[in-house]
This record gives sequence, C-alpha cells and structure tokens, in this order.
Amino acid sequence: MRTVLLADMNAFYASVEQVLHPELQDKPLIVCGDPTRRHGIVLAASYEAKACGVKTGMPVSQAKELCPSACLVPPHMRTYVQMSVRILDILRQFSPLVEPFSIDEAFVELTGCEALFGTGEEAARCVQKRILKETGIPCSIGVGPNKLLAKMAAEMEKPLGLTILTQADVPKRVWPLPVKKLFGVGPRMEHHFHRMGIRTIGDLAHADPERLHRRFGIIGRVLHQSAHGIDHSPVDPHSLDSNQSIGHQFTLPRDYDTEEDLRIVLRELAEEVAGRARKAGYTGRTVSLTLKGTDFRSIHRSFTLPESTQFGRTVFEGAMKLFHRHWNQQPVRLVGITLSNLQPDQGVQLDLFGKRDKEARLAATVDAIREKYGTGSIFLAQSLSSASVFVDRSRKIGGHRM
Amino acid sequence: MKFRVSRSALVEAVSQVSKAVSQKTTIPILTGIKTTVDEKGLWLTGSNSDLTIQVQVPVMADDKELVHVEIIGSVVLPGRIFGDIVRKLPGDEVEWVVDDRWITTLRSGQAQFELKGLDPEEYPRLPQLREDQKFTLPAELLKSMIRQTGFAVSTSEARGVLTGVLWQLKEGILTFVATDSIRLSRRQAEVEAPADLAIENVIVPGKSLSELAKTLGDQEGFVDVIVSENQIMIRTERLLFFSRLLEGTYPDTNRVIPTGGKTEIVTSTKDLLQSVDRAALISRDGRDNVIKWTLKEEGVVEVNSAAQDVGSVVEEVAAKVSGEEMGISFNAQYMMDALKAVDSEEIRILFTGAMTPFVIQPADREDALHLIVPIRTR
Repeated sequence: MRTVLLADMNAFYASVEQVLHPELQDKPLIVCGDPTRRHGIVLAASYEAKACGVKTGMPVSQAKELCPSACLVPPHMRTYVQMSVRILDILRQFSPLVEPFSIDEAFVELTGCEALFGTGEEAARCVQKRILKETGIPCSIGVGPNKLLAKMAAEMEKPLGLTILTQADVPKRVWPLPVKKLFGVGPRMEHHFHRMGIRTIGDLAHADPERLHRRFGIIGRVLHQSAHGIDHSPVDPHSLDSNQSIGHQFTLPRDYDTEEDLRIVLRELAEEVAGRARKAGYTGRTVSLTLKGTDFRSIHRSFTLPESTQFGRTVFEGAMKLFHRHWNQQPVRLVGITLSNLQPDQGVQLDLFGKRDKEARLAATVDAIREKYGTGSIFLAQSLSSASVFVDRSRKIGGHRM
Repeated sequence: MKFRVSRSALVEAVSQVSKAVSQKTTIPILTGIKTTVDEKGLWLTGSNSDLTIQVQVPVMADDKELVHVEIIGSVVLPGRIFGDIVRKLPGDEVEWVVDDRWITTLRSGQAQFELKGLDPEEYPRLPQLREDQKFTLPAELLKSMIRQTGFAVSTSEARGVLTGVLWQLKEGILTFVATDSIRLSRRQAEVEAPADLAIENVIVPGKSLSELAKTLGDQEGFVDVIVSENQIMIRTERLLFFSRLLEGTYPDTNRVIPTGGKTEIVTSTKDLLQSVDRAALISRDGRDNVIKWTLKEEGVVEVNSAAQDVGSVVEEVAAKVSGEEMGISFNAQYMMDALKAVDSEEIRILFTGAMTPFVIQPADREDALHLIVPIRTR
C-alpha cells in the first residue's frame, strides 16, 4: 500500500507577499497584472480577499469592486520561484521522491518512510508545520494511496487543510462530488459527460467503461479508473526535467490584425523558444502555432520540419508556414509557439556552404552576450518597432514581472 | 491498327514507360499510354509533367520476330489497367486490333479484352529539340555516373536546384555534381563530344535520373545526349527519354572541394564500409547518426559510436595513416552511401580538419570523389 502526499501552497503568490510584507498580514491582498493593461487579471488573492468573492483569473476592475479595501500588488516572479525552490528543499528532507507539479504544488512519495515519519497523517502534519515555520507559507496537504487521491484530498480543505483519503473513502467522499472535481476532467470533458447524463464522479464510476472507451478512447478508460480512485502513476522527480516540449504563449498588448505586426511578435516568440531550447540542450522538429482571436476561438496547428532545429529563424519559418495556412485574417489576441519532438542536441551537422555553422555561432554569441549583460542587451532591430513585445517580455519571468 | 506482339517484350516495354505515366488526372490523356505500330515495330509512350519516356519493341531482335505488323496505326490506352492486363495475359503472344472508334481488342491465349481507347491525336507531341548541343557516351558509363552521384541529391523539395544533379561538359570531359549541402559527390568521364562544345548549369532532377538508370536497365551500346534550354533528351536505338531541367543557378562547388590536407588514410573499402555499417547499428536511431573516427599514427582507424539509451561500440580498422593524428565525427549514413558508390577495392580519404569537409576517393583514380562535412560535437 502506497502513501502519497500532495502539498498545495495556499494562495501562493499572495502568501509570499504577506510573508515579505508583514504589515499586509491578515489583510485582503491581490497580486495582479497592471490594471491599465489587458493582462490586468487577478493572479492570486489572499484568503481575506477571497472572502469578498475575489477569484483567481478575474479582471482586476471587478476584483476592486468586490473588495475595495484590497491592496493591489504587482507580481514578483523571481521571488516566488525562489520560495518554491525552498519549499521543495524542505519536502526532499522527507523523501527523495518529490515531483514538482507546478510552482505551488508537489507530490511526495512517502511509501517506505513510515519508520521515519510515522503514518501519512503524522508525516503530513510535520511537513505542514515545517513549511509554515520555516517559510511562513500555509499549505493544504492531501494524503492518499496514490497521486490522484492525494490531489483530490488536498482540494477538499483550504487553507491549512489536512485531508486523508483512502480507497474505502471513495464511494462516500468522492462519488457525491460533481464530475468536474475529478482530476483530469476539464470544462469540455464535463460538457460531454453532462450530455451523457454523468453529473457526479459516482455516475462516472458506474458508467460502462466500454462505452467510455468507444466515446473518448483510452482517456475514457483512464477517467473511469480515476472515478474509482485508481491511479498507478509513479511520483517522478524528473517529470519536469525531460521536456516534452518548449513553448510560450502570451496575450498581446492590443489586438493585432496585420501580418506585419504579427510577424514581428512571432519572430520574437520563435527566438525566445529557440533560446530556451538551446539553453536546455535540445533540438526540436515540430513547431506548433497557437492563435487566439478576439472571439476567444483559437487555432492550434503543428508542422514537422525536415530536420530538427534550435534556431529562431527556422522555428519562425515553420510558424509562418502555419500562419499563412491557417490565419483567418481576424484580429489576434493571443499568440503562442511551441517546439516539440525534442531530442538532446549532441552536435552540429556542419554544411558545405557554411550556413549552419554561421547560424550556430551567431546564436551562441547572442546567448553569451545575453548571459553576461542581460536579455535586453542585444536583440533584432525589428524589436524596436511599435508592434514588438520584446522589451516588455525581456523583463519578465513566465510573462509576469520578476 | 492490327498486329501481334510477343507478350514478354510488351510487358517489359510497358513497365519501362509506366514510370512516366501520369498518376494525376489533371490532364486525363496523360494517364494513358500511347501505342503506335509501324513497319519498324511497336512504340509505347508515357508522359507526365517531368518526364517523357518512349520505348520501342523492334520487329526483330536476336533473329526472333517480336512484332508482326498487319495494319499500322496508333491508339492511347488507359495506362494503369492496360499495364495490369498485359502482365496477367495467359499466352506468349498478344493479338491486337483497334477499330475506328479506338475500341481495342487484346487477345492472348483463351483471354480476350476489349478496352476503350482514346484518339492518339489528342496526345501531346514529343518535344522537338535542336541537336546543336549533343554528345555521346556508353550507356554503362552513364548508368554508373548516375549511381555514383544521384544518391547525394537533396530529397527535400524545398531545396530547389539541390534536388538535381549538375551536368557540365568542358573539353570533352563530362562532370556530374550532386550535393544536399552536407555531402557532395562528383564524377567525371571523357565522352564523345565536339571539342568546342561546352555545357554548364544543366541541372537534371535526381528523380528523373534514377528513372533513367532503371529504364536503361542492362542496355549496352551508346547513348546520345541532347541538351536544350529546358529539356534534356537521352536517346538510344530503342529509347527516347526526356526530362525537364531544374531552373536556377547551381552553387559554385569548386571552391568547397579541398585541395590539400592534414591527414590521409588509405585502406580497404570493404573493411571500412563494414565497420561503419556495424557502428551505425548503435548510432542509427540518433538524430544525426553520429559516429566518430580516430586516426592513429600506428596505422589504425578507431571507429566509435555511442548512444545514451542504447550502448556503444568500438573497433579498429587497419589503414595507412600519414600526417597528423586526429578525431572526426560524421553521419554514418553519408559515409556508407559514399563507400558503396566507390568502384575500387582501395580507398583514399583526405582530411583537412575536424570541422572541415573530407574527401573520399578511389585510391587509384581521380575521376570520382565524395565529400562529407563533419559534425561538430560538444
């Protein structure tokens, strides 16, 4: 029998701000993007703000209406990343098998550690106390016989919750929940399930797995198993190391409706993605392009290059091919480029006419200059044009301020 | 139109022209095979936007009557079904009658087919080329020149002129060059040509040439080559082969072929090929199929290959090594392609540095060379 724990930091960004600014402790606090710009949405809200009805993802203007006394704070991504690393370090003192799941969540495999830390509940209490004491960040912990139930348990009580779910608890405590609460069921899946008359997790557990398989393929079977609390996936400390893909997407400062403007941001995005691939030591063959229109309908298309690349120009060329094929001439609100089908890059195949070597040397030089003097120290001249997002993005981590 | 023809000769002729028969139906008549019988024999023609192939089944060959002509004439038959029928006919001979509405009756053994033919006047005429740029060489030589260069063309349509083989003629020397920009192959030979005839920047699609080599089969004797503005024609007694030429300017490859070098090895082609083939078993699933050679003064080439998830291999091949010791990494497939194309038991490889192209040549000749650009490893 396994014991898996999920630690979920409560209102993480807001909690970090409160730790760093004790005067904000116990006060409504909202971490949000610049309200004057379009990405002015709530990134995190303290529990005091949440009590007024403020939710993550809400436009800042609406949040201010709900909670006029809230203190608005811009995000400090670098600090949050550092805090996340500190918390992971604490978790690693309980087990070598720690899988970071997002910036504020991590799985810990406690199986076999019973002699050291006692039962799952005892260990969880200890983890929670230590994180709070050493970092000041409150977290909710779920304990279960696998990752799925640990994750669902952690969702049940916030903040500073500690919930234990066993296989035997599934019918009583999991089945009555609406189906969208099941890990892995998104809004679209929920819609499909509703049309099949499946409203609770229990309904799904009792649905015919054959029928689910026919309708949704293998994922139907997996969700049916999940509804029974079954999940065999291991806690993988390296799940984030082996990149499946490298990509970025972001909301444009305004709607772009000319190819000229979109070219500029796509080129910058391609350079950014390729730069990350080089840094991680990968080359990729598949380029995907995401375009979201103002009507929120999105286009997501992929193109496999004749050979793998880690250079911005080639990524850009692949993305432009997709762009010309699939752009419907409508204004674009959000763009994204992803490089996948990754392989470690072992060497550079040089060519007769010296083109690749030139490209590789140019990229290596740009990387070295940026490493030393900062990302904004050297860039394409076109990034000086008004459509460019380079200067803005070069000061950010994950699209938010450092 | 009425005649009899040997089935085996017909099968061979049909399979030769089939390669040029259009699969697409944009120009419906081109999905057909044009057949014409006259007092010299039976002519079959297939054509698409790139190629036109016309072959002849002569009335007599090796004292055997292949075609017995009663009434001369011409008809276009649907390519694919006609080919299938001919291959499956039961008898040794095919009796062939076409009526005035192009209905064609094919009789062989106990089987009788009736095919709806098309008016041959609808079929495009063969291109008429001026014969002022003409030279001649043995069919066997042409085939071997294609075999020794054709593999090096780029297979990516986006590469334009690099998907073709460059033909150059100067002072009676015909040169073929092919490169995909990572490896290059060049073959030169003396041909029969007017002394003042010079041909440059003629680029023949690699695909056309591999079809040409197949179509020439084991034909002996000489072929005439006629070059025009945008077409090339290869002619033998029983074959006319037209290919369109690629537009554009072929890059200057002379400047990338090194003349001097740092290290030279001479060794057995077969031993080297086999060792590379073995090393590639480890490297072949990797991105660039990378293997490494270390050239050692004591007279060995150490062949290495390692793949993270698979394993590694090391072996030594005896070689005469002169010059500096060095290590070099490259794509094993390119090396195997080049070594297979060399018609010589001994091979000479000249290295100019770990990051610059190296030259593979038969040990005893200068008329063939293969260039491979190494991989810079970290």
